[in-house]
Amino acid sequence: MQLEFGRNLGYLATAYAIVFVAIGGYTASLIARWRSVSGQGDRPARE
Amino acid sequence: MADLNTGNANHPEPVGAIRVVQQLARIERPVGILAAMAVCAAIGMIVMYAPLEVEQGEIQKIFYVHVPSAWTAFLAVTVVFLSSILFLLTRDRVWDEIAASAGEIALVFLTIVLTTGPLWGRPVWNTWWTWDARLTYTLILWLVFAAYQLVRPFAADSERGARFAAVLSIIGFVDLPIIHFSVLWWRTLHPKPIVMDPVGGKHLDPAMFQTLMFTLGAWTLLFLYFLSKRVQIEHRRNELDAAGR
Repeated sequence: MQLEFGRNLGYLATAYAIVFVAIGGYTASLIARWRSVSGQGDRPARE
Repeated sequence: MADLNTGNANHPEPVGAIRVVQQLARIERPVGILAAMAVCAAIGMIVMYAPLEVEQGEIQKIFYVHVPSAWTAFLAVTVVFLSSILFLLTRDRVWDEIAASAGEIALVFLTIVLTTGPLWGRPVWNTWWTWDARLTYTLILWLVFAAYQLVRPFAADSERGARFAAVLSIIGFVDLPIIHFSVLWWRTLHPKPIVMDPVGGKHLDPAMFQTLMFTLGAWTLLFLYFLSKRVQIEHRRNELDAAGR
């Protein structure tokens, strides 16, 4: 019973970690990409 | 933000799409702040307000991120579909920018759905994965949107890439009703709808329902923030590309 509780908590923590890493990581990538394009003048952003 | 005018003699000058981009740019900051607050409040509700489910216990709390992520992914796929249709009708590249942006967000949330699902399935179904209709069609949708990310960079020119991507997204959209009704059409391991139950069987506990609805709202705000930011990036990139030519 105790083992099952711990195991389930592990699955739950992993699921929430995935969600917040995905959302946080995507937000960070959007901010970084916006900074890289918004600071440029007329230079092309893509190779 | 400067207007991107891609209209020509055969197609009307773009008016509607650029307005959508401008509106999204306008709401970005307040929606971002609201989304951050709503996500924090949703976590508080999940931890402190939502009761434990009798049979599954604490593992059932994956429900509060799995279902809103699925809803957000479906919302994003619908935005891609509508923008793609409008792009094909008007050839206004701004619609394609909106579609490309929503397509990326759809992939992020579909990935969350397909990773949190097995983490819930393992303790409850005793398996990480089964080739059940809903799971399989969701995986197909993920593959369609993974391919969608590759169509533009690998196309010979950007106009052709945008057209191919639009057609692919329409094919992907056909998968949405199949995913939704799969649990009713076929015998599946995935549970039938309990929030919008057409048969009127099981119902959610009021506290669980309120937590779910609040989380759905928070995830929708998050989607709006992502879309507004991502569309501005895509639009700016196209402006820079056009200026560099």
